[in-house]
Amino acid sequence: MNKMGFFGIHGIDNLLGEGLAYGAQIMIRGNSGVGKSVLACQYVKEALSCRDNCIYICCDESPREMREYLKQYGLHPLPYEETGRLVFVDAYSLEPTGKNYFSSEDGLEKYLSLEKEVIETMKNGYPTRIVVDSLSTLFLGRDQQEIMEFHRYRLKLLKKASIICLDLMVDEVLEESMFKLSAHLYDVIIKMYYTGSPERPIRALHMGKMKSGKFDSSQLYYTIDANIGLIVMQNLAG
Amino acid sequence: MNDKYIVKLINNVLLGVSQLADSVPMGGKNYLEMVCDYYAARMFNQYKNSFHPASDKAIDICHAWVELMESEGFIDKDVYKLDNGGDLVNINVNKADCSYCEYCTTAKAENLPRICPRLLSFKWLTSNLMGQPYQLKTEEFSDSNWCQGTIYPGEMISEILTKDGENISVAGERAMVLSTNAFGILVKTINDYAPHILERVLYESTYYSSQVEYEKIESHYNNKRELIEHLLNTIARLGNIRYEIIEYDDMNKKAVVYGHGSYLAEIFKNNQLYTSPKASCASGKGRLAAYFTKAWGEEIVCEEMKCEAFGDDHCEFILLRKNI
Repeated sequence: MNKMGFFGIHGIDNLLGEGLAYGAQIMIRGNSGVGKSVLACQYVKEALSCRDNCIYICCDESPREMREYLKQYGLHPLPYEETGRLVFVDAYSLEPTGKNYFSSEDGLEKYLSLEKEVIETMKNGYPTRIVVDSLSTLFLGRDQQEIMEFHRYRLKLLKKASIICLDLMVDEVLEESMFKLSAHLYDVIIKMYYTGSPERPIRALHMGKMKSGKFDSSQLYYTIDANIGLIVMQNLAG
Repeated sequence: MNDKYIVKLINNVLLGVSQLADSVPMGGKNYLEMVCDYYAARMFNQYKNSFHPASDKAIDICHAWVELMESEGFIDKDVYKLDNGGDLVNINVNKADCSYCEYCTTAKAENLPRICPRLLSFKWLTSNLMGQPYQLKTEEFSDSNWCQGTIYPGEMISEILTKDGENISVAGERAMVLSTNAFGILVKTINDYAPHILERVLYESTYYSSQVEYEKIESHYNNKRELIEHLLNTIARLGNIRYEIIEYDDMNKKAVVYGHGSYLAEIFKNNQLYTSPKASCASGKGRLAAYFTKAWGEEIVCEEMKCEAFGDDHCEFILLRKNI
C-alpha cells in the first residue's frame, strides 16, 4: 500500500478518508487570525513525525517566529533542520539571515527557481511536503495573468515531483475572482472562517473540492488550544 | 561432604540466585542484597548471645563480628582489615582464600548481577544495630589481592518489586502489572473518544511522574549522568524500554539516547492507532525530557528522530534546550 499524507488533525483526517496522495495540492484560505498558520504548524509536525521532509516558506512571519510557534505545539525544529528534513525559506524579513530567502521585489520566476533548488537539496529518500504561508502575500501587487501562469506551472511541477503542497491564502489580500480562478487547481480546499454572532464567534471550516464550478464540501467546527492547536469538535460536524 | 564440595555448592547456588535475580522484573542486585540480608540476619540471630561489641560505634560492631566469626571457626580474622573513618568503616578483604571467588568471577564474566556476601554482612549489622540505614560501596582492584568496601550511613534506594501482603509494590508504592494488550486498549479508548489529547496525555503523565522518580533519588547521587542511568535502568528492568545514552553533553545541554524494545511503538503498531506510521514514543519523550530537565536545571525538550514503529532498529531521542 502506498504511503498517504494526513494533517494530524482528527476530524479533518477523517474527512480525507484514505489520505492525501503525494503530489496532492491543498489550499487553505481564511481571514487573518482564523488559525491557518496553527493548522500549518500541526501539518508540519505530522509530516516530520511521519518521516517526511518539510519546506516552510515564511511570507507573513519570520522563520524565527515560526520556529517558536512550532515549539509551542510540541515540536522543536532544530534537530530536523540540522538533519536537513526541515528547511525554512525566509520570504518575510527585510534583512534575511538564512541562506534561503526571497524578496517581495524578486520576480515569481526567481521564487520558482529557489523552490526547485531547495527541493533538490532534500535527497534523503523521504517524501517532501511544502507549506507556503501565505502564497497570497507573494502575489501582492502582481498582475493577475502572471499569477495564474505561475500558479499553473508551479503546481504542475510539484505534482510531477510527488510533493504535497499546502498553500495558505489570506482572504483580505486577494480578490474573490482570484480564488475562483485558482480553486480548480487544488485537490482539496479548506475554507476557515468565523460564524455565530459577533459577540460569540465560533470557528468553522469547510473542506472539499471544486466540482463543476461548485464547492462541494463538509463543514466542521473547531477551536484552538494554546498547546495542541486546532481541535475539531467531532460531535458538532455539520 | 568435603569442604571442596560445599564451596562448589555455595558458589553454584549463589550463581543460580544471580541468574534468577537477573531474570525477574525489577530484579538485579537488589534481590541479591535481600538474600544476603536474610542470611546475615539468620547468622546473627544464631550467635547473638556471643556478640559483645566494645561500643555501639560502627567500627566496634564490625570488629566484634569478625571476632565472633573467628571464634566459631568460620573465618580467619587476618583476612579482614578494618579502618575507622568516623561514621564510615573501610573494610578490606583478602581475595586469596575467598570462598566466593568462583561465584564472583563467573558472575562478572557472565554479566550477572553480583554482590559480596562477606562485605554485605557488615552493612546488615550496622543498619540493624545502629538504628540508621547503612549502605555499602565496593571497589575492586585487579592488581591487588584485596577487595575493598566502605559502609556509610545512607538511605537505600528502594526500588524493587516486592510482595506486600496481597499487593505488589515498587519502591514502596502499590504497583500493578499491565499487559501491553490491556494498556493498548486503554490507549485506544482515549484515541477513540479524545484523539487530540492522546499524545499529550502520554507525554505529560510520564513527564510529571518521571520528575517525581528523579526527586526521590536525587540526593543519592552527585553525578547527574549516573542518576539518569540508574533511572533508565529501572525502566528497562520494568520491561518498558531499554535506553542507551549515546551522547551526553552537559556543557551544551544536548544528549542522544537510543531506545530498544519500545512498548508504545508495539502498541501503536498493533492497534493501528495512527493513520500512517509515525514516531510513537510520546511517553519516552516525556520521561527523557523530565529527567534531563531536572538534571540540567533548565527546560529540555525531546524529539524522536527514529522509531521502532517505522521498523527502525531502535528509537532515537534527541534532547536539547527548549530555548535555542
